[in-house]
Amino acid sequence: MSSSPFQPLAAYADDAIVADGEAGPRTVGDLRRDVLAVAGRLPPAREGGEIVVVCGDRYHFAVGVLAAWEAGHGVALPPNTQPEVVRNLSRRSAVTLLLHDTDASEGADLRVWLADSAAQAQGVEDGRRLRPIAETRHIATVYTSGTTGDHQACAKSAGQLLGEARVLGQTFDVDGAQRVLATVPPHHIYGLLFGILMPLLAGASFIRDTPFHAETVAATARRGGATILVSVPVHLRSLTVLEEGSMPALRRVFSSGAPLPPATAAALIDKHGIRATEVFGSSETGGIAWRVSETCTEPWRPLPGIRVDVDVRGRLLLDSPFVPAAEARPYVGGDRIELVEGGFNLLGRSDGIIKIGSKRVSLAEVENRLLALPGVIDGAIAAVAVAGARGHELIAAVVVRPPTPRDEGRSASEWIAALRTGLREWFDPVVVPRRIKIVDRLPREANGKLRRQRLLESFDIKGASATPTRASEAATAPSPSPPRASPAQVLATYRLRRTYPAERSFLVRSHAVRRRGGREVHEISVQVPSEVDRGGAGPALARMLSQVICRVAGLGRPRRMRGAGLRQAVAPGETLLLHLEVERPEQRVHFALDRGGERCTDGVVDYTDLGGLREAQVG
Amino acid sequence: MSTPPSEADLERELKELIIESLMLQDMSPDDIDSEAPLLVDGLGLDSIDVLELAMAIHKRYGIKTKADDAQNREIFASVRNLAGYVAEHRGKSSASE
Repeated sequence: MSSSPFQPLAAYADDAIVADGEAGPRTVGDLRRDVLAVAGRLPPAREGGEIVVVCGDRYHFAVGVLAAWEAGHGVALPPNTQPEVVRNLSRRSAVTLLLHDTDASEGADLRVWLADSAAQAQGVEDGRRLRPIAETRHIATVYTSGTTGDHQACAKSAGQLLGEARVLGQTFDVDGAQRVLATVPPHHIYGLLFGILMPLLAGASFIRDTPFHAETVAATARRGGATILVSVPVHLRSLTVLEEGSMPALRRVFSSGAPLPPATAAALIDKHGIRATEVFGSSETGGIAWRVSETCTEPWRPLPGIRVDVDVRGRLLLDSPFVPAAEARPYVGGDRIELVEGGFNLLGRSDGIIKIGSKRVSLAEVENRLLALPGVIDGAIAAVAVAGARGHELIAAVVVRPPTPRDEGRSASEWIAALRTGLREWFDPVVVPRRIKIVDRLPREANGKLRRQRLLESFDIKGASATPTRASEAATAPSPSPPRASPAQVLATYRLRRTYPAERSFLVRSHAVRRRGGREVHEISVQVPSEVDRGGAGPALARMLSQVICRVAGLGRPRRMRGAGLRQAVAPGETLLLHLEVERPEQRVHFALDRGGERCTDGVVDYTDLGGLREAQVG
Repeated sequence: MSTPPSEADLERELKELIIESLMLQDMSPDDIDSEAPLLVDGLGLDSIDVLELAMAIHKRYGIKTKADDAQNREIFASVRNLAGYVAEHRGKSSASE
């Protein structure tokens, strides 16, 4: 790989059209002027500081990203643009600004800045160029769904992100005559790389709009003169209903995010003469390999500069310039593969991540968000394989609190509607469980482990195979082999208040249940948040304890707590061991909280057993 | 035109098509309110559902959606809107043939 810095927009003549669409064409000169104007209004850059860019218009997105880099910032890309996710990301300490073209109340509206830029420019060409970007500079953080349930941050240097965009342009012969149309949003790394950065580095142009329905995709491609389509299997499948001749001749059609179903590949060839180029990669690793898919059995060919191997457990081993330098070499991927003549075949994932449509979904993450919703006492998520481009759908079984005077008479369907609304704040609608059932209790064994088969049976799912999910199976029982991505496993995360950020969450790291002299004994390892309340750790610990009794031990709703005060100070980030001894007939729990063998506090909690209180209602 | 199915019949037919094409096994047409939003707050269809439903309507009625996604959002807003669009375009194609 070359060590020369990246020279943004160097590949173009000033009057070349770089972006076109409903909102009108823009030249490279316009783009440079807008980038410089926006960069001049950004807050001063600081080490590790980032700007969140959320724009529907791909030209706006390009301006935002290039301006952030010009002013010395990195950019943060959210996993989706659901309001809570963007808000949460924007409140991280590293984030200096939210730059958007939506009607969000927070952050800066890029459209207003661009209007000012256009008004001030009026024929003035100052001849300034954009600053080069050094290969080692950190320029982006991509947030994705991780196996442990929290959003995982993947840091990208210019060498990884722009280096990959350059290799893609070279590999797929993208030149100044090409125009890219993408049906995937620009904040997604695939959409950013293929829809914006690859054309920018190759001197090509892109279409500003992101069409959705098949007829709109075809019309936008025809009208905008697209020669390259960047899409996902779900969108490509819908193109197969269009009549022959309705799609313009395309030089290349990219498909990524999920495997292209063979039936879709065949129909694309049949109807439109399109042989899709599938690209395999991930947010963490960048692009890995590609193939032109006619039967979808063709081997995957590694991209230039990438070496692929397989370990004894069948996992993908990767040596790639697009993997962060800090990661070990070879990088161990989450996919199982086999090496074949000319490349490799993909055999499936080796962790708890599934794909719905082309959205990457961590069941643990959905489960954790579900458990954090108000009124939820216990809950479980399972994935069921379904036909068609969707691939999987999620189902959820939820135990809700017994009726309080406030929600007396709240029906199961009202609960379900409230849960859906709560989850939609965090997830793309595709990820929100298709079926939610309010149940009395989950089919857990004495050690708290979920009997997933019985969960599926309660949904009357026959013949469908549940995807075994390590993360989800481990919701209450430690897994013998923790996933690669996390040094220490997190079984559950508890925010004590809905508004608290992740730094203020308790992490449950292990949970074991034994019987001792007729008593049920739980041993739970809990990590104190890295930030605790101003009121000190005591009240926070008490609230954590009642949540753990409810949700981890699955006993019921705490009624009364009597305990000794804290005998030892508890420091942020420390791991504590919580012992619970349950007297079921008395509905009482004796608790003790230890730190490194020393007692911090102990006491008794009376709880209300919820079993049989509510007749299960099926929603 | 031969006697067109009534508005209510068409709405019921579309509800059956929604349940069948989106595999909503737990639902019956009576569970779907013709005026409730199909996406998000009402039936809770997501973007994959909408594309699947558009394909099903194309196959069943030979009707394409518009080449403008703002108009398509309007068409797919509720069963009532969808029925109006299908009725209008079915009428057009039979009249022109």
